[in-house]
Amino acid sequence: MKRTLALLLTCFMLLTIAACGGGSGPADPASTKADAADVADAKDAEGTKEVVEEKPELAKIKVEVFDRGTDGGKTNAIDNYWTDWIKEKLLEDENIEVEFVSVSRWEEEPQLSNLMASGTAPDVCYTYSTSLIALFRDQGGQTELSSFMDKLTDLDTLLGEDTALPGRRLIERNKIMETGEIFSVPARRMNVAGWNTFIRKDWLDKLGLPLPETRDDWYNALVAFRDNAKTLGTDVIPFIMTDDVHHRAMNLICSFLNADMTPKDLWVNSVIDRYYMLDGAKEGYRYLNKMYLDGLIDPEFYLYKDDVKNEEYIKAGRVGSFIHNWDQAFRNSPSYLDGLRENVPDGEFVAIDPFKNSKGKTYKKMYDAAGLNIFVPSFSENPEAAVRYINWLAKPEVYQFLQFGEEGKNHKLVNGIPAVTPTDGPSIQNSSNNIDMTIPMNGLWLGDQETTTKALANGYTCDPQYIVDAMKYAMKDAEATMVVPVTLSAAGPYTEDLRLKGNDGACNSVRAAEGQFDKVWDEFIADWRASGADEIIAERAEKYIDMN
Amino acid sequence: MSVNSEALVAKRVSKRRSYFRRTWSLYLMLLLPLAYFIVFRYVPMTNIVMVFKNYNMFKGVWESEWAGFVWFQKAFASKDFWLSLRNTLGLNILDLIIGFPMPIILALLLNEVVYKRLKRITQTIIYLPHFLSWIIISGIAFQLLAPKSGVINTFLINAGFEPIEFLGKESLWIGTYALLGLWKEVGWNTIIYLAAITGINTELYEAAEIDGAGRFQKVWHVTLPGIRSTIIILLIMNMGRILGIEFDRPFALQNSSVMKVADVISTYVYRVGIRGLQFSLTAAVGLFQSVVSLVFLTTANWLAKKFGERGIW
Repeated sequence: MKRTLALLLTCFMLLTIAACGGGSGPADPASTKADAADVADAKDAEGTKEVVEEKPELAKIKVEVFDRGTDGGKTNAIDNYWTDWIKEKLLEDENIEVEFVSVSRWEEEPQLSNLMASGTAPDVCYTYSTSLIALFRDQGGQTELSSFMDKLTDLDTLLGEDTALPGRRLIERNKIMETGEIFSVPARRMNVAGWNTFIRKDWLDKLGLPLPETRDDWYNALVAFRDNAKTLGTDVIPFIMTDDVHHRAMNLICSFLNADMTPKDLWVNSVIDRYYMLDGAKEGYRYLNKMYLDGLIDPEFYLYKDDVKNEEYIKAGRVGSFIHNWDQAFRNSPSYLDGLRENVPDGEFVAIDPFKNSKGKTYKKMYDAAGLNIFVPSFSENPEAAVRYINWLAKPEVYQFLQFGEEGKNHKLVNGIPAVTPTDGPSIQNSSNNIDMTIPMNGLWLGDQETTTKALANGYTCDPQYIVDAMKYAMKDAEATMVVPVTLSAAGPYTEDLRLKGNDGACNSVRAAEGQFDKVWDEFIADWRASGADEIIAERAEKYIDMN
Repeated sequence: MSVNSEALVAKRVSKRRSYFRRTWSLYLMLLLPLAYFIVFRYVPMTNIVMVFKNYNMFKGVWESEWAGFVWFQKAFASKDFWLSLRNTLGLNILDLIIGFPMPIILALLLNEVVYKRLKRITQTIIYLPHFLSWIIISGIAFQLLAPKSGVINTFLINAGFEPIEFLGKESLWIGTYALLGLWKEVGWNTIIYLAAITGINTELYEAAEIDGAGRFQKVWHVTLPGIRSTIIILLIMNMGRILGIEFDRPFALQNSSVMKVADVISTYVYRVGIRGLQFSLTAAVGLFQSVVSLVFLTTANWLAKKFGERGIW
């Protein structure tokens, strides 16, 4: 009997412990972590205080790093040549011990949300999602950084002036004007080129057509591709895109936007950075609808949720034209041009710039200089060290090593300018130029624009002239997304839904049957407005500040 | 008399005592699954309270502020919620109409197959799709049914017909959805009926034969009544699921042009609640779904008992 009782009691104890563990919230792991850190700090402080006076106390932090998957001979995202280098150098320079926490590049939003909600997010976090940044800020999940600004001097130098808001520093982009609080700092996008239109030059040559210089030229070229499918190879797809019509018809749509729109209309109606509500966008989609009805667009585009099929068809030499990232056709990965040439040896894609608006400008979008946003979670035990880490990454000797590595090993010098050489060994970079580690900046930077552009062109396997042209076209008459220094909150919960609904509505409008376009489009816009867009527009209209 | 009853009570007590002495270890073993359910099922359930709160992920469920019925109001005011509710009901009822009788018919047919080897091979072949994930099936569906590159439409186009928009037209998409579901699950669902059929006393068949029953009459008068209670129980359980819908099937099959008929509660919750980080809204919709499912289940069970069946409790 006694034995039974004892057993029963143990069982109940187990139960209560388990129940407590299940019941308590996110504070729990943090507090145990805090204890451990305190003990470690105390121990280390005793040991080091007397020996080195100037060096700050040893601190331990965790840092987010994107994991892009392990295919293609990539290394472990949180334990590799580069992370080892950072660990060693950071300990030496700043007396900080760093541990990396991986977050999938492709699922970064839900994963970061989970880490934040469970209180286990690393001390330095970053994300491309502005709605997440706003949501964490509004719910009190970020450390206020304005008192740390004197520790971010190197970052301030790297970020420089805010090109979108003259007279202000980029580091203060996310400052709340009313209170002066800063909850996150942006990274600088070194290359702001946006989108380009690509066309098969070898097909144009074969049909005796010049490079299109106007929208109609381009349309006629596509019609010629369609009509001469037998000469060009069977199963020709004149124009291809995915269900993300907004991005995959970007420059075309931009050419239809009303060139006389006021800055206020432009900004207020750019809901979640989509242009459906802008004056003139409807005509752009009407044009796409005509293209679709004329058989110029792949009839299956609305079923493509990613680039997989596009890549397959482009490399197979079936696609005449597409709109994509400014250098998409020439990137070493997914290597459209090289892939095409494996199947069609004389195949050639070139960038063109034919879409002119009513003022004759090839108006298009380029990126804002502020890229991803970096923040320190409110439950971080050592925000000071986290801030020092961010600043340390902005030092030229640090980021340039991370981007180019060692001479002879990771790059060679061509006329004094580094050219990255692909490595297969342990020092392979998991992201191009290690952008996932050099978080204060997205892209190469060698101190000035000219050197940087040359280094950039050196990084492609194709003829550098393609890159120079592509860059020229992508930047011609391009405008960055307008920035108004106000704090917005309304979009947060609606962004995902609106994004998907936007894709759906755009696809349906492009696929509308003859004579049905207006009906489909108007229905789409009405639904979009009711699904949160109206609320977002109202907030933007209310908070708009005239910058001129 | 009293002496007798006292003895009886004493006897009963000692009987109970000896019963516990014999079986206590079994009860002890029961504690573990009980603990599992309490810790992992019932304790998390307390978080349902977030439907009445303005959930803040940094404060946690208990510290967040109360919000009353805001989230229910928000869900019920949303056009998308009603649309997804309608679609969930519609697709599930269609599944029930097509997907419920087919396994029964198939089981009866298989049972009549005399050549046992053929029966076994057929069974194996029709089970197999059950083990494929919906992601794979959606890929297969795309390869077969895509408007231009799909096998069927390539064939139609080459034969000089217009291609059929199996995936892009709303009415055809619904049919595709239902038939793919049937194709995937029909074989698997026959297992339980075949098992029930094996349980029928063979003497009944012999008796029926002596009475001069033919093959069809044997099926109608012996086999079907023999598996009636199994059918009823499965029907009740299906009724309980009428408002619940799996996530992967609609999510993998839906595309931009059919969202009006393809958006169901699970995908609505995922899109608006989980991706939009509106956890309270998600929980409110989930709670609503559970309550309605419970009502359906109890009603179906009550009806079954009314008709003289056993029900599920």
